[in-house]
Amino acid sequence: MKVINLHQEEQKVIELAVENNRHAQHEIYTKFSPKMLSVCRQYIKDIHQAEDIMITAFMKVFTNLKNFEHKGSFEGWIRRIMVNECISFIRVQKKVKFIEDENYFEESFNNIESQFSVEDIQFLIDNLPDGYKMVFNLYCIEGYKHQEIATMLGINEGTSKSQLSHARKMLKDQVNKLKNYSNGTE
Amino acid sequence: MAQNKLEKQIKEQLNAREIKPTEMAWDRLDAMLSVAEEKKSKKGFGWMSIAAVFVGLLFGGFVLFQLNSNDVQIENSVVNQEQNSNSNEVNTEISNEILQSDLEITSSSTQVAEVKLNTNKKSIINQNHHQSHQKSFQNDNQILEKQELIADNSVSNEIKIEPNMKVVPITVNPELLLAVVESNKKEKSAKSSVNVNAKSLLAQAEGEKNQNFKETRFQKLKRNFKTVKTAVENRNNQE
Repeated sequence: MKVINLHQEEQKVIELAVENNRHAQHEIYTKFSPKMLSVCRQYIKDIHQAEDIMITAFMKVFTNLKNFEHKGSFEGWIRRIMVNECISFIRVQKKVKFIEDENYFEESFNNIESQFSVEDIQFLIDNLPDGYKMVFNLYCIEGYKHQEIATMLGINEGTSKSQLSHARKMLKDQVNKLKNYSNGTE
Repeated sequence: MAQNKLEKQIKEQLNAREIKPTEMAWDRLDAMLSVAEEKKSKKGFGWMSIAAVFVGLLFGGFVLFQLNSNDVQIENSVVNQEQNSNSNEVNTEISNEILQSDLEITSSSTQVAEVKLNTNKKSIINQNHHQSHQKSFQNDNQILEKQELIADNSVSNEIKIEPNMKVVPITVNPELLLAVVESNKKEKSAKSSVNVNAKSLLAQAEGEKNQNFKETRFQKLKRNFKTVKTAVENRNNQE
């Protein structure tokens, strides 16, 4: 019953926000902005820039709110808008170019067993090149398939796979370095 | 490429993370939303103003077209009026001629009647000639005078009455005749005044009216166009 009530409440708030009710819009913003800023931060290293992109994405959320069909989760819909905004920012501002490389290799993290803090994880991701970072985030965190990633980034599926394998290899190296650094071997 | 432990850990930790945005973030978003709403309303107003200008132009064009067609109609009506006045003139002339001929006829008939009376009188006088010579003499004199008068009248009216001609007396109501003549006179005087004034006054008045109306209309259009132009420029500058 509580779930249904919450869903109905959310639907009411969305309907009000569609009619440019600022209170409802603020409610949506306060509810989702911390999570969405975290999403933007995954892709953008600079927190201020990430916040700017989040605000722009929220603008798009509110202007396109009437197109939300209440079929999937509202959070998922907002998240997709955030991810797309981050990708378009990286592609336009940083002019990222993907080298077509369909030769990829299986890279496994299974031998790495250690607990990292979220700051450490973010540090590892930040050190990845933009192309690797985008594919890694989209595949491992957002859960998109290679075909979807290829369509989103305008690349081949093989390129997406190779970018992921390169990202994994790089992360593995970094994790090992971090482990060695924390163990005091380096 | 299945997800491994580290990837799961990364995903869980990143999904659980929340970063609180700065206080200014909502204010900026609020400002952006307000600007977007204003733009939307301005866009609506812009379309409305463009539509209003378009409708105004259409209306102006329609009014000008109507005025032009009115000019043509007025010209036609003037021509019709002239034609009517001409026909009236012709009618009045004809009726006057008829009246004159009627008058002539009536006068001739009265004259004839008088002549008849005179001849009767003459016969009576002849019959009673021996009875009273003096009376007859006086009567004769009177009759002679009358005959002379009648003869003069008949000469002036150029009516020759033959002795064998049968004349049918026509009864005319003099009051009716007077009324007809007076009305014709009035019509003639009115017609002449209208005829003189209609052309000049109509042409002058219509010309002035049209010119004034067109000038004011064009001035208004010019003013509206300037305001719309400045509004569009302002909007473009704001954008």
